[in-house]
Amino acid sequence: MKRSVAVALCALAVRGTACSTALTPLPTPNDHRTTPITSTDSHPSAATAPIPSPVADVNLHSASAVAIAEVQATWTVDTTADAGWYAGELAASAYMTSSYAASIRRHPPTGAPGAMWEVWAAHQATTTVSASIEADPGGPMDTPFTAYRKVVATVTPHGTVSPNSTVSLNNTASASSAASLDGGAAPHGAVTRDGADLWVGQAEVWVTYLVVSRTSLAAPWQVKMTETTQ
Amino acid sequence: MTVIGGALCALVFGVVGLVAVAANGASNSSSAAVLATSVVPIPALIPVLDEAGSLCPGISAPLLAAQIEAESGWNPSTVSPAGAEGIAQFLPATFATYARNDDGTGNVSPFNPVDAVIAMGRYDCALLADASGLTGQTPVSLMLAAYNAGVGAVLAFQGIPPYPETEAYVGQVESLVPIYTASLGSSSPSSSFGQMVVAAATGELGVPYSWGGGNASGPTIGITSGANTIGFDCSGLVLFAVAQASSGQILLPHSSELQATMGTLVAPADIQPGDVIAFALGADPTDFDHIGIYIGNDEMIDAPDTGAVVRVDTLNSYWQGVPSVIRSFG
Repeated sequence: MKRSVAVALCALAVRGTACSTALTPLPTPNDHRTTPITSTDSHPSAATAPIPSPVADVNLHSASAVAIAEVQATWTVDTTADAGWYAGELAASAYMTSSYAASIRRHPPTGAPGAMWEVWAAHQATTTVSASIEADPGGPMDTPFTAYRKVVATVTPHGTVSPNSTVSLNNTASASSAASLDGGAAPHGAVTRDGADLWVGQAEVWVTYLVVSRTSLAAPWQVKMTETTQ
Repeated sequence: MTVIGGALCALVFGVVGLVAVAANGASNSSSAAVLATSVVPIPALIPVLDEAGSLCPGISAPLLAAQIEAESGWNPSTVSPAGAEGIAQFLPATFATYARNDDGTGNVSPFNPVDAVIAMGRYDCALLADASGLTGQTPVSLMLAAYNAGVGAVLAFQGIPPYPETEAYVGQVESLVPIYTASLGSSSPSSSFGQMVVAAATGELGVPYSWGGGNASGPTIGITSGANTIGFDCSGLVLFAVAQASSGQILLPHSSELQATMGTLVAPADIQPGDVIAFALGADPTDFDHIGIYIGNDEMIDAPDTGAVVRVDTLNSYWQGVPSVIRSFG
């Protein structure tokens, strides 16, 4: 398998695509997994899995705090344990209305998590998420029972695979700067016990618009709807 | 080994695949966008993309290229944890439905880029048809959502499902399309970047404000700003105009705060049409919560607020009294 990949890449070079002679073998898809995929990552069981509880220190009576917590949960992922972004979405259901949470759980995505996830997973990456409210006076006005929040989240993948292996991850040069999935951040220089440098990938910015609601003035705020852009 | 070997064969002798596709008689010439061949990482796939992108109206070679970048980063051998395979990240059952022996090698595999790209085109066409009865979002947006979330979810929600993963995927692909689209010289060669920014914004005058609306390709449905409102918010309009002027090379975040920190800082005395102006309307003079595009003569185009439309606003004494910062992306 490893040899086959290298051969294919060099064949592409014949047609004009760059081909490194120092390719590091690609990991097989699940080589990097150190823990099994949890039940919450299994799409068929998602609809019946218990809804997680909110983190204890989140102020559920603050629409902004709930919005930030929902976004942080969405993008906090562990590629060694999660099958894809959907795991974060399930975790974020702790902050959703029951109907929104049910819809998220009833119709799990069927597609692949995509190229970015694959790169992060190859580095056994987990994410750190920095999220904050962005004021948006042009948006809808809050009411006592409905609030509108815009949250900007900066998501940074932190891995444990040597940056020397990154050449194998982007074996073809993508056209967009945004697709420089494996680059953009210099390695920390920190060293793990096995001698590999810690890897920090390019941070991604996601912007989420949230509608947050509550059923009474005393009730906690819950996320009713979101829209995410990049 | 044989899988990759077959793919390699198909790439090196790519004309074989084209013959096979043509024999299937599926090609459908349309007015779809033209592929920017110089940015395709695997040149052997260029004719394959062109062929796949012409399989039905509504898709194009640039769209397929953008999908491939988002799906696999152009890696023909990748496999996702969920078992999605190859350059187009097909699940085996889906691939079996849409794949044919398109490269003529007899090796039908999701790891064969030729077969996978053509199958992606067929699948996209099928999804477009499945979602054709829905309104409120563009057919391509709905198709992309179905590719990611499944057509069942799209039909259940009567639109793009509210999954961050799916929304991000749709936005990412649509933002990548301009990068893979060849410029056909529709803009005057002498047009400056700033003039192209202004032209892009001017073309959207009258489009409704939509909170969360707008991406690199145009207006999109926002959130809760009136049912099915397709339009722009302030930062959505700016990111669209700059993306259009740069042929997709500059993709700004959907955030006025962040846009206000990007590009090149411009002194007020040096402002030029096409520069963007960010305003701090709230109490914090460093919190830039509105943004517009300067068009000259003390005027800007902006998407002001809910219920309004993209319009020309005069930079009168009110605006001149608001803390602001000017940035240029040219």
